[in-house]
Amino acid sequence: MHPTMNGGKPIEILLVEDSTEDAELTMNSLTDGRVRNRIHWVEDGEEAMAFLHRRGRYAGVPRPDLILLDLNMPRKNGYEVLAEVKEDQGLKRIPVVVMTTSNDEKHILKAYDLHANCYVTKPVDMDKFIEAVRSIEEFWLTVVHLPAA
Amino acid sequence: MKRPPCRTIILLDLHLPRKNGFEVLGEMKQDPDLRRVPVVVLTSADSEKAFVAAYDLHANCCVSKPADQDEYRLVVKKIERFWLHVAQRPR
Repeated sequence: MHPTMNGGKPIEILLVEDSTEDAELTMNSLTDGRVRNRIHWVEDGEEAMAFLHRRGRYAGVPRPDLILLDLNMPRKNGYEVLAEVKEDQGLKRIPVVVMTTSNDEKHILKAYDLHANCYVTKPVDMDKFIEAVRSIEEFWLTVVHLPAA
Repeated sequence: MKRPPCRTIILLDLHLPRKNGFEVLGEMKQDPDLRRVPVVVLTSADSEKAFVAAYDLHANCCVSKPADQDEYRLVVKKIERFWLHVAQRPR
């Protein structure tokens, strides 16, 4: 599936982020962007997996085309989500963009070893944060060919 | 296979002689040292099955090669911009 050939359907993005401030900034930056998208926000790893497996109150949700994943979260952290997604035959093709505060080499290596599709360190500065989200949006929603479900 | 000496990304076509891109991708992503190296599949293959297969083999991303040269250059610039200036790459 390519965004411009998506028949006008929005790109479904699952945002896994426990910080309300970061989530709102991310969602506002994506909503203002060029490509029509719909963001589904969950606040921890357990909710992320329930969403992806369409369990309970997530029974009718769409399958995401892209996952934006924080690593430091309560209950189930991002590494665990990443590992579960990338080991699941039905979910592993969904690109996972890790977006997290750490720029520690150990964390970067661990994420890529778990098959994160890419790793972006969240800038502390708000304007740079918005710019990073817009760069992710530009690349992953207009350049990359996202896989069909 | 030795680990590349510096922060590397691979641009990989799928249609290659002798060993095709899927085989290269599969071998890299199963190798404990190479699996972390980002692989950008840049291909003229236009079947959805090919893209899905590449993602299932853990390609980091897949990009369609434009036929037009100017558009091709622009796409490569965008890949460079994102992977060299936005994303973190493993050492």
